[in-house]
Amino acid sequence: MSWPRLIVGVANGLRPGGSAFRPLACTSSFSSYISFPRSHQWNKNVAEAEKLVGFPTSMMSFQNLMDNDVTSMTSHVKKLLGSGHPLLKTLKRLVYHDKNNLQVRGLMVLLICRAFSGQFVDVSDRHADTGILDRQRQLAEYLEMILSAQAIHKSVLNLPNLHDGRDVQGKDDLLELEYGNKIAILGGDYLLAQACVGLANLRNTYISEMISVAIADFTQSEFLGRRDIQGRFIPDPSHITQESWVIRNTLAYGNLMSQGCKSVMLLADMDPQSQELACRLGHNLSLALQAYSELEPFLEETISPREILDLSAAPVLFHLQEDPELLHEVQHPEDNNTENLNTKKILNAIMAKRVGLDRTQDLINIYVQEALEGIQKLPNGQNESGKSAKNLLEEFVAFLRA
Amino acid sequence: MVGGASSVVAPWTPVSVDTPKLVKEEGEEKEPEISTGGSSMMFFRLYTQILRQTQVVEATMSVLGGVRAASTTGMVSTLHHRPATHSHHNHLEARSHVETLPGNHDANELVHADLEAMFKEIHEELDFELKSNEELRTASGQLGISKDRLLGSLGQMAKYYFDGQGKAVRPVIAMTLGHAYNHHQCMNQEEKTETANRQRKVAIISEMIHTASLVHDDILDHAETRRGKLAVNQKWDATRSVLCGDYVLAIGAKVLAQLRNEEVLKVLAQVLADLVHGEFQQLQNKENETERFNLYLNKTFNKTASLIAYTCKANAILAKASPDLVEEAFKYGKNVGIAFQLVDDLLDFESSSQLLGKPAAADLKLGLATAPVLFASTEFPELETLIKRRFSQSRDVERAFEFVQKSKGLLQTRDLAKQHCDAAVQAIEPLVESPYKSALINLTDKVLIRQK
Repeated sequence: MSWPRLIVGVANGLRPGGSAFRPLACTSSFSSYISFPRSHQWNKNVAEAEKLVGFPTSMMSFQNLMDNDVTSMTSHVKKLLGSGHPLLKTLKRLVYHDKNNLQVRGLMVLLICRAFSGQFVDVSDRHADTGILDRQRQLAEYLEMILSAQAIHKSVLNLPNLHDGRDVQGKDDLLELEYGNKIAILGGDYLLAQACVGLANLRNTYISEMISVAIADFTQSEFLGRRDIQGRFIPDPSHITQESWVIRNTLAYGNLMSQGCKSVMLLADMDPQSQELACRLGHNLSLALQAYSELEPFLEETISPREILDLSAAPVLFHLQEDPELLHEVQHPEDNNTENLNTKKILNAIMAKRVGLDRTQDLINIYVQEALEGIQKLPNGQNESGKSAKNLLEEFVAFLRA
Repeated sequence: MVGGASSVVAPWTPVSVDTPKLVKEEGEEKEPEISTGGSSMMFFRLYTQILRQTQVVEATMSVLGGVRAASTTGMVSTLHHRPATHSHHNHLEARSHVETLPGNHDANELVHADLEAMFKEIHEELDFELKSNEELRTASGQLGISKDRLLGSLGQMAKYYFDGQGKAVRPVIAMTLGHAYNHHQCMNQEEKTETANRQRKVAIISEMIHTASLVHDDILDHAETRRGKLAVNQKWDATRSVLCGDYVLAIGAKVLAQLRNEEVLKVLAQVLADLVHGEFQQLQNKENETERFNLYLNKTFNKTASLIAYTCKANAILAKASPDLVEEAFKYGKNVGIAFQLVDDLLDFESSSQLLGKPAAADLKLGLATAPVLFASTEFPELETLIKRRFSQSRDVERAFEFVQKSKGLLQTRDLAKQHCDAAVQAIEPLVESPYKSALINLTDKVLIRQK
């Protein structure tokens, strides 16, 4: 079965709740996904950017994971169909929304490379058409592999012990979920290991070091704040501020992107100023994208309550700043399980008051502004017919602004 | 100090001193302390106390036959028996004695100081990222939460297994081999110290990679205990343990990068790929008997030997050994690693669960057919069906266990392990004689006769 067809199977096989242990339908596990409306303009930009960087961004890291004899991931995932394990949703989102969201981070790294390509010092493995170095392309790929690995590891569930001889209700369903955990852990480990091997082959120990630290930062971000029984974020007064959002997401996504952007400059032997410019731009782009991805579900015409309640999302946090009563309720979910919260009530409150949405848009605008200032400083591309990498980056970023 | 080194020298309490086996072990473990020339009176008193026991042990061992080393404690680190007063300084003195003494060198003894420094460094590395992190510093200030509390359990979880109580097999092998190579390369004292410091980083990385993979393995295998205490996934939970494993791995990768040696970086990154590969192989089932055995050996390399082999290779590279000798270091590590795993698989059938720190026949319970079962299946074809269904039906585990006990499987597994040990010894033949080389040779015996 081909991978896209399998994914359709995965999608259809998702069982709507009902098992003895109902896995979350939507959680902080997915906060890492940047999902954009399938806006025509956005997709057109993506297509144009891909052409410009000469990089078929579609699912490279997944092909690596799925079509591999070693992992035979496809067959493992097939066994999971119907289990309702969050891994299925994670994979589905990574693949379905691929072009529109996650991959744009790699794409933006490459657009920055393209913008700088006229000035590269080390051009030993330069691509003739795009001017982008082969190793830069690889690095963009590894960044995405790491992001995917992290998303996959986040979909692991806490399950009761099924192997101590005691009788557990709904054991068969739980065993399926346990298998899902196994595949999620190994799948994530596989992507991380491949990324580490790839980074080592770039033969620059400073890059390996920076990316390793960024991976460590991500794990730290997941320990910030209170967590429910499934490790999902529970807002509390110290973690609903904009500052705490910025810190958490800088650790989770900002650092990987900024260090990635700095690394591609290092690969081309660029001067420290260019490294710094790329690094800051990466940071600002990543936070703008992340904040937008958290706002975007609230902008859609129909909102399915089970699909979008991520309690760590900026609109939720910023709403709770102004709604102490709801904050109190959210802080104390029944059985310390955020699934037991009244999702609909929270959603309605956010949509009615809109303050969470407005503040999130303000936050996006800050990072968009910063990013635009960085983009202005990028060199002008040479011999580019049509839009330049700089123009495209501008358009991407402007899209995020209200 | 975070307590790494102090816990390294903390006295180790045997599970049960009453069993004859453990009494013997204790005697045997003390014995090398004497041979290292520890000059304190305490050691002499100890020596006279345990002398009789030791002789009993040696008699037992000659019955076992074919054993070079006087110690049967295998990889159990003797350092746990060190009195807490045994200072770093004393040890260095002890080592200079060692270098003049012929034969009978114990790897754990020789690299004791390295290990002590190592656990301390691991704690420092794991803490550093938590304490120095700019975002966390800012967060701590802005949110008014102390840095330690900010991340809740991550620091505790990450350091949990690095308590100095583990066998630290990998670092011991990596360091001993490193020293043996440094000796071979005729380095002066300054070069030796400098190189050994870099090689210790490789030992640190090996222990961190190993621990990170243990944390993930234990979630996969629903392990309840590890290293004599509650497994990290039980003490905390699966969601956090996954991230904790990633954290330890990332810090290990950072230390690796900071060695600033591209070749070593490349060599050790390969270990990560091999480890995951091995895990995936464990999920596979092969119908064909030969294929099954090959898969088993291949998996054994990936899951156990790769880490040991590549750390040996890395330390030979750091010693600036010739390409040929670097390959021999790899061969030594690879063969010791495979032997180590074969014996591990053997002990799953032979050793009492108490001694091993995990329940007997644990592999069967996980549905895994290891060497003893695979050998036994050639004698008892009934095992075939059990292997194919991964011992999943009732009484499968018990039946398989009985078949193995009846078969020559355990013997054949030991023979195979012996062959790998011989190959390991052969690999380091070209090295000039040194206490470290002798310890590397003795180490292969210990791998064979270890009880836990």
